[in-house]
Amino acid sequence: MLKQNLPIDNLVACHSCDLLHEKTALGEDEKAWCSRCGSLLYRTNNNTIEISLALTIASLLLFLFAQLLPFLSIDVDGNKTTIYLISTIDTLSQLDNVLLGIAGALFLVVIPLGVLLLDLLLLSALYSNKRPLTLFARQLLLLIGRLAPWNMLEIFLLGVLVTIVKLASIAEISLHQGFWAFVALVMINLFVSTTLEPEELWQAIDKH
Amino acid sequence: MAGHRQALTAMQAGLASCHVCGKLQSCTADHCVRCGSRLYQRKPFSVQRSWAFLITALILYVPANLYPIMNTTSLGVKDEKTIIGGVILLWSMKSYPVAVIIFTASIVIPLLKFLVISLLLFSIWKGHSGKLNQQTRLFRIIEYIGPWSMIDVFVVILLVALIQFGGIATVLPGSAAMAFAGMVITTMLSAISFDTRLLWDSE
Repeated sequence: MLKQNLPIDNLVACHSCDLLHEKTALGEDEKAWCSRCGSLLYRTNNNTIEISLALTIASLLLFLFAQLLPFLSIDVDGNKTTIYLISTIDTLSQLDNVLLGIAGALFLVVIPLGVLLLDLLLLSALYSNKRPLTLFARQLLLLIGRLAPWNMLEIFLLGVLVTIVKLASIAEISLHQGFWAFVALVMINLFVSTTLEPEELWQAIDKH
Repeated sequence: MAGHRQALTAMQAGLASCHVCGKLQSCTADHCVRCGSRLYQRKPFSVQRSWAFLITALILYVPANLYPIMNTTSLGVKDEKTIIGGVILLWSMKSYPVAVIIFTASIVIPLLKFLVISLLLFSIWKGHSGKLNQQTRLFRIIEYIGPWSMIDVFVVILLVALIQFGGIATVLPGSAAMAFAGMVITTMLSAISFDTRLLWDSE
């Protein structure tokens, strides 16, 4: 029973329970909630594309620092070893366990770096507003949405902290620049993911 | 609060909001007018897919807990630890916060996920509504905390990589590590396949 007279552009359907709501204008930092199930309907974005782009570039730099600078060192009875995050992948690849190596490479490097690079491409395309770049904006945003649930940097950070506590009982651990870059990266990532609204990106793409 | 003019769902109005980009449009189109994804009013085969991934996860949960997740050799002494064995060891070493984190992430969260998703799937199957607000909120919580189960897998990956370098001992991943990672991934796929709108359709 299709109702032709409904003003589709002024309506929004709750993603959790499908109830239709009329859109109302929101002030800064306001959110609209579903009147039936209480889920978030939409919110206003206090992040402009400019700020998100700047944060993405910062994240990429921090990601490189975290991977390539000394991460931490282990000291057992004066035997000091310095570890780089990127070398964990190398060690895993030397084991017989191929699957664990692949899982490590995916969750530690490929997915987080992939999302950051796709973000960079998409945001710089929307920012510069150049025609050949915006042609791929749709595909980029689709891909980002697919990868997002598998980006587990903050969970990995908790894993790092647990590992440090476990190791602290058998060796002396000192943290280096790479570790702090990683902590900063996770903070920025959390901030961006809570403020960047996909709906606003879709609308920005629609305008091109 | 956005006002709703009449208690009408998108489906009842002959509309569909795209599962990928959220664009509201007429359900007669095959593909979303905005993002080009296939357009559905409800996720296709949501219940079947959700069950299939959940059952796979449940099967993987058995070896993930019975087999050792980490094998340590220190000064020629071999030690194999299961997940729960590791938690008990941490507790006995008085690392209470870490023991609680690992216990919650590796044991409690997966069990909660199995329980909640299967309860919600039964609720859809039976068609009786109950407290749908709570059920929806419960699902969102489960969906959010699900990936945190991966902590133990990351700890194994890190310890394996770090201790090879350190030369203190050798640490090798146990056979439970991949089963556990597979279990977390399949429960996440089960949650991704689940459509909370189906809970509300019986209203």
